[in-house]
Amino acid sequence: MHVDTSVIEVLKEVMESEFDILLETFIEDSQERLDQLKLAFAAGEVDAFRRAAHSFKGSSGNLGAHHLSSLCMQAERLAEKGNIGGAELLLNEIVAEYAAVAVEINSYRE
Amino acid sequence: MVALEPVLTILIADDTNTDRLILEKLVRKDGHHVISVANGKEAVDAFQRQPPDLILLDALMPEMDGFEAARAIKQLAGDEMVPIIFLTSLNDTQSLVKCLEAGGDDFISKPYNGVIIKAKIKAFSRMREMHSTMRVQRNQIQLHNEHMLQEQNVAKQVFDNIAHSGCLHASNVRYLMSPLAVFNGDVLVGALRPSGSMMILLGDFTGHGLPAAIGAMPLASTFYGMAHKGFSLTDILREINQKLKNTLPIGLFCCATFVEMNFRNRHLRVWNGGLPDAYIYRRASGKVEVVESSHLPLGVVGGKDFKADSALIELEEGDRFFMWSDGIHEARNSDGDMFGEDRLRKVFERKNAGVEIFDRVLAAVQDFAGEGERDDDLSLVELTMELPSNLEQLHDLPGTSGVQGLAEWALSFEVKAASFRFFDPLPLLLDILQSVPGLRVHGGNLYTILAELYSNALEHGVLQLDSKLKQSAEGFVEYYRLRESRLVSTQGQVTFGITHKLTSLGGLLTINVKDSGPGFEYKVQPNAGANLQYSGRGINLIANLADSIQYKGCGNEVEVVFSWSESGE
Repeated sequence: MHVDTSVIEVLKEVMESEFDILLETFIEDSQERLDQLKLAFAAGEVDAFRRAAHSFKGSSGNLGAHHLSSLCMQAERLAEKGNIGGAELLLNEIVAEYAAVAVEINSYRE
Repeated sequence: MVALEPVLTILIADDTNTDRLILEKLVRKDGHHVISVANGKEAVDAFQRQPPDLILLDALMPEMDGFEAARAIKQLAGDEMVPIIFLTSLNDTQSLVKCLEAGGDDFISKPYNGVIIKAKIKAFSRMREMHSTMRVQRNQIQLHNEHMLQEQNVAKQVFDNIAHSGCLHASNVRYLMSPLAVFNGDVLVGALRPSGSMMILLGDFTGHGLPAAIGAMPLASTFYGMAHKGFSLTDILREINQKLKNTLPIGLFCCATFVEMNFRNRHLRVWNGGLPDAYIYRRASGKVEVVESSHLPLGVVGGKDFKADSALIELEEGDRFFMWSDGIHEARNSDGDMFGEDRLRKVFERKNAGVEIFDRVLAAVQDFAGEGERDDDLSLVELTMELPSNLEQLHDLPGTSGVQGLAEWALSFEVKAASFRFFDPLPLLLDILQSVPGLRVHGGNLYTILAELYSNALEHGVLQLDSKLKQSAEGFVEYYRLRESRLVSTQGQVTFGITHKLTSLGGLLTINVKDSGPGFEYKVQPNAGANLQYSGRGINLIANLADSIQYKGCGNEVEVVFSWSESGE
């Protein structure tokens, strides 16, 4: 499982009628972050890469996608060191993990 | 019963939509009103538009990150407390410290925990209220402080106006009143009496600041008002004591030493109520005599219970009198010891050339109290028994120029025929005479003298009534019938001429009464005690009461001389 169900349960309780909107927003955000990561990596922009990784880490964590969040943290740390040249592998992992997360998230939508 | 939490307006700034949504929902569920923005710049704008009660700020944002936004907002907030809680998934110490240094008051980590967020909002809300209360109270205190300072300023100005220095500039007077002493209720007033003697009063009111200043005002105005008119030390003390007793609340009173220095006969009168013992330094022997406090302070008891008796001390030229409030004895050093009576005595016992004592006392106290003792609470007065060399200047001071006018005067008062029947001039004349303080105690006798003189002038002089008539019952009736009818028809008048001047002993009053009648033969009279002498004029009575009585001219003019002395005889 790529998404922590207990987190989803709590979120359902908290968001009430806006639960669906939240999931939708997450999907949108995540797509955007992924695009930013890819662009930044391609252009070699370390700072942009770092910020995108940082934000993605946050939102995925909020939705209970712990592994995805942890991968983003690694990407962030890498960028902090100043060199994202060897980040391709990590980026691919992130893309793959997110794909799995998205499936699960969508299953909770109405 | 749980108290209702206040509803806050909370600003949320987070650039990640997902996170922002969750947070908004959490905060709204907690009952609060939410303003939501997606970057730092929008956060600052929103803050300016409508200042929230609390801010949840994401650390990393585009356009202006959280740190910069926090700094800007804290500056805009001024001394109002607007808590900023950073939202961050940063977890390294350095970043967290950076949050606090940028003005953050706390941080909330992602992923969001609803329970923690709710608890932190509650805690900061409480802090904010406390801070707000404190600010309101601080402002109130500031306002009250300002009022108090204004009041004290006014009190000081009023006091300065009343307590013009009188004779404190005299060359035989030296004094020091430190500002703290004045603030603590010490007051010094001094004036020359019309007779030339000098009166000085040193007072120490209980309390300090405004309450103490309030007491000084009636004291000073009474003192100066009465001293210049020539009232005695006893009279002034009684009056001041009664005024203070009547106006001051219980527990407020004035310890005082009142002294009168007579340069002509070198006498010193001292009254000490509650202040430390005063000293007399004898120039010839170098010895010190003590004048103890033997009375209650002013304002404690009233009426007959107040004792205004003073000690009379004979001095030699050059002897010095010292008086002080308790600031000298109670001056403390850094160990908490008091200066005390012994140390003060020692200053006097050293080989002194009299004139040095004043400075040495001050130096001794200041040395004892040590450096940095900026709370000098000292009042010290020295009077030397020697005629002031600058008397002229003292007399020119405002308040003293009235002295001559009140002391020496003359009046002429004519009662004309038309007034005889309806107007009695005696109360008016007596009132004028009694404005001379020295004559007050003789009011009764003076009235008798005036009444007798007027009666003589009117009935025997103007109306020409013969008092022999009054020896029989029918004659009595006839006398008064004649009196009535002649009052109606007479065209005569009675003139009073009264002068008063001061003498070395007190004063001299001369009363001259002249009537428009033909007078009588007064030069040839045998000795006798009967009242029927002098054609019925009660001369003997007057002669007993006054210094002298003398008829003049054709007998329609009489002059009575009446003297009074300061000692009350």
